[in-house]
Amino acid sequence: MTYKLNFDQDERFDFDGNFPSLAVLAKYKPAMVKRVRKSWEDERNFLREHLSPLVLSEDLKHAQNPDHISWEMLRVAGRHGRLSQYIPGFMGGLGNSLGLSMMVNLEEQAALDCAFCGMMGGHGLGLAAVFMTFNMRILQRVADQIAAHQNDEKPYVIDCAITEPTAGTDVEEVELYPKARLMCQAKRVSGGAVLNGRKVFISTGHMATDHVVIMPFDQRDAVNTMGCFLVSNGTPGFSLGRMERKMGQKAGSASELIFEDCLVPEESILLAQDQFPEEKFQEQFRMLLHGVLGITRTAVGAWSTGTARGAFDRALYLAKRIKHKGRTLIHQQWAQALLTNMHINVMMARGAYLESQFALMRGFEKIPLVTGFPPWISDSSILAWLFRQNWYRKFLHSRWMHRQILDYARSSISEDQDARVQFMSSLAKVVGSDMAMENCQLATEFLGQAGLRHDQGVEKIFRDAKLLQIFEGTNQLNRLNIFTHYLARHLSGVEVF
Amino acid sequence: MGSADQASLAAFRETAQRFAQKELKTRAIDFDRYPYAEFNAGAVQAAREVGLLQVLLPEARGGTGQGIEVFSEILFFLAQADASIAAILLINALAQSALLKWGKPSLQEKYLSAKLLAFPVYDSPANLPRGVEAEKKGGGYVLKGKLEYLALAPVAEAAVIPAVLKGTEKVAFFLVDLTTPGISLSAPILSLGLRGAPVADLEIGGSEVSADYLLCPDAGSEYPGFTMRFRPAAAALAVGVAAGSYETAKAYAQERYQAGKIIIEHELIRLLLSNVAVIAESGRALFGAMARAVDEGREELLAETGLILSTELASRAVSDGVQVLGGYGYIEDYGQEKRMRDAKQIESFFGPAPVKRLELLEGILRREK
Repeated sequence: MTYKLNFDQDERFDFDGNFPSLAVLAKYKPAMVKRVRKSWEDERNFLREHLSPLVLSEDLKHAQNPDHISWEMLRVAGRHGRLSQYIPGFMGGLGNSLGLSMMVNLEEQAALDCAFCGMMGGHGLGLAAVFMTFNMRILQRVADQIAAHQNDEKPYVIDCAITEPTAGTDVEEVELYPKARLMCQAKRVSGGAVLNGRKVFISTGHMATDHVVIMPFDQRDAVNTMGCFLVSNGTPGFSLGRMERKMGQKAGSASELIFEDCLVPEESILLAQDQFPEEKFQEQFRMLLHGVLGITRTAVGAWSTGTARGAFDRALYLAKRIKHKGRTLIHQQWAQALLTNMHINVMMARGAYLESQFALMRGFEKIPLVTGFPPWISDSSILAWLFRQNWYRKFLHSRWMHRQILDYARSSISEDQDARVQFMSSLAKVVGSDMAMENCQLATEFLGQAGLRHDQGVEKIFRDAKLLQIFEGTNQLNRLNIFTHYLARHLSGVEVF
Repeated sequence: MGSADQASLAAFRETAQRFAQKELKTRAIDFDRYPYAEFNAGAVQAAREVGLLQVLLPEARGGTGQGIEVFSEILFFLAQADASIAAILLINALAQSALLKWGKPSLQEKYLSAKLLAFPVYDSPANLPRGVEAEKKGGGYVLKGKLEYLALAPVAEAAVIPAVLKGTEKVAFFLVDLTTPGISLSAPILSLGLRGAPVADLEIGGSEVSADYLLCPDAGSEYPGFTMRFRPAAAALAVGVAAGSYETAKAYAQERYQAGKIIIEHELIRLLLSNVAVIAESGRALFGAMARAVDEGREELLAETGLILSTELASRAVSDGVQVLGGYGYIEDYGQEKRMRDAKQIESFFGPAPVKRLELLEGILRREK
C-alpha cells in the first residue's frame, strides 16, 4: 500500500468552505478574490499534474545520495513559470502569486510538499529582499534573467544570505544587531564594494545563480551602515562551501557562501546606506528587514498551514485504509477525535496567516509590490510595453527615481502599521509552525508503522516540518517579537531584549 | 528472577559505557544512512563479544542470565550514543526470549546462537497482524501470506512471526528460518528513525515448516503479558535518547552566543532544556523502578504506564533538544535530528501510541472484572 500523492482532500476541499473570510471579501472586492481563486485553481492543477510525481522520489534520492541536488524539481517549477510567480506580469513574470494569492497558493504547495516550498522559499526570500530595496533596476534584471532561463537545465533562481555562523537569531531582529557577533563586512572601494566573510544555512544556495547578500560596512554600527548586494556565481572571491545534511527539507539546499575579497560592482549594489546619506534614510534597513520579515513570516505561516494540512490529509487517507481490531480506523471514535484535532489545528493556523496577510495588506497598502496589484494593472499590456522601453527603464532605474520610491515607501508606512505587521506575522509563523509540528507528531503516533515508513509520505513531512519552528527567527524569538510589538509598546519601561 | 545486585549492575553499566564510547559514538551518524550505507555489523559483533547481545540468556545458553534491570541500564547508555544498536539488542532479545519461553530445546540450540533474530516489535500485542495464515499439513504447517514492517528482517537469520491458525481465530507465533524456500523480503525500508535497526516486509508463499517451529499456539492471549517484561527496556531506550539530547543541548547552550550573551543565560533556552531534563532525569528512575517491578514479578501496570509516559514525553522533548541548537540542531552534525527521529520511532514500539493507551484501559478493566 503506497500513499499516492493524489490530493485525497479534493472531495471535501472547496474554496468557500475553507476560506469564509475570502467569501465575504468577494462581496466588496469581487475582481480581486476572483483572481485569487483562479490563481489557486491553477496552482492546484500545476501541483497535482506536475509536481506530485516528484515529491517522494526526489526525497528518496537525497537519502541515497546526500549531495544530490533537486534540479528536476526546479526544472518543473521553471517550465511552468513558477519561478516568476511573484514578479508582476508587466515586468515579464507570471505574477499569479502576489499578495493574498502568495499565501493561499503557498498553503496548497505545502499541503503537497513542504520541501518544495523550501526550495521555492529561498528564491522567494531573495525576491522579497530585492522588492524591499526598491531597486527597480536590479529587480528588472532579475525578472529578465528568470524569464530568459526558466526552461534551462539549471533555471535561474536567487537566494538571500543573512545568517552567519555565529549570528542566527541576532540577524533576524533589528534590535539585536548591536549585540550580534558578526563576521561579515563590506568595504567601499572605487567602483563598488568588497565583501568578506561567511554566510551559512542559505536556502537554495547551491541552486542559485545570483545571491542577495546582506552585510554591513561597519560591524560595530551594522544597522546604520547596512549594504545589500547581488553577487553572481563566478565572481572572483565568491565560492560555495558545504551543503548541509538536513533532517528534511531536502529539495532545497542549505548552503555555505564564502566571500574572500569579493568585488561587487556598483551596478550590483541593491542598496547601500551611503547611497542615501540623508537623515531620513537612516532607518531604511529597519524598513527593509521589517518588510521582508512581514512578508516571509506570514508566508511561513501559510506554508506551515499547508504542512499541517499535508499531515492531516495523509492521516485521513490512511485512516480509511488501515484496520484496527478488524475495523477501519475512520470508523473508530478515538481516530475520529484525533483527526478532528488535526483539522482544528489546520483551521487555526489558516486563520492566523490570513489575519496576518490582511494586516500586511493594510500596512503596506500603498506598496502593491508587496500587497499585489489590481488585475487591470498587473495584466495591463500597455504597462508591459512601457516596462520594455529603454527610455522608460532609464528613467525608472535612475538613482533619482530610486530615492523617490524609497521616500514614498518609507512615508507610506506608519509606526503603528509597522508594529501590527511585525507582531501579526510573527504570530502567523509561531501558530502555523507549532500546529504543523503538532500535526506531524499526531499523524506519526496515530499511524504507527505506516507513519514511520518512507513510502507512505508521513515521515517525510515530520522531518520537513521541524525546520518551520527554527528558521525565519526561532519560535522563541518570534514570541518575544510579538511581546515587543504588541504588548510592550503600550507598557512603559518594559524592556524585552 | 529477583532484582539485580549492585555489583553486577555497576559492572554492566561500565561495560555499556565503554562500549558506547568505543564502538558507537564516532560513527553513529554514518551508519544512520542505512540502507544507503553499510549495516553496522561490526558493532553487533562487538556487542556479542562483550556479551551484550546475550545478557538475558541463561548461562546454559551462553548468556549471563541477567534481569531486565541490568538490560535496561545497558540500553540506556547505548541509546545515548546510538539508539539503533540499542534497539537491535532489544528486538533481538524479544525474539530470544520468545524462543526460550516457547521453543523446543533443539530449536533453541539451533537459533539462540543465530546472528540476529527478527521480531514484529512495531505491532500492537493485543492486535497482532493476521496477514499470514498457517495451515496444518502432515506433521507440520504451511505458511502463506504477508507480514509488514518486520524489525531486523534484512539482517536476521530467523524471525518470530505471527500467523493465524487456519480453522481457528487464534494467532500463533512461529519461528521461521529466513532462508526457507518461499520466503522473500522486500528491500530494506527507509524509516523515520532507528535506521541502523533495519526493517523489511516479509512475504511467505506456502513454505512448509515442521511442527517444532510453532512456538506459541495462542500468542494473541499470551503475548501481551510477555511484552510487559520488555516495556522497561523500551522505556530505557527512549530515556537514553532523551538523555543524549539533553547533554548535547546543554553543552551547546553553554558555548553559543546570541543576543549578547551565552544562550544558556536566556530563560527561554533554560525552559527548553528543562523540558528535556525532566524526562531524561526522572525517566532514569522510572525505568529502573519499572524494571525492578518486572524482575520481581510484581504487577504490570507500572511497566505499561511507564512506557507510555516515557516514550511520549521523550519523543516530544527531543524536539526541544533540536530547538536549542537552532539550525545546527536541524543538520546531522550534532546528532540531535537523529535523536528526534529515533525517539519518534521508539514511540511506536508495541503499536501506535494512542493504541497503547486504549490497550492499557482494556487491560485494567479486564483485570478488575
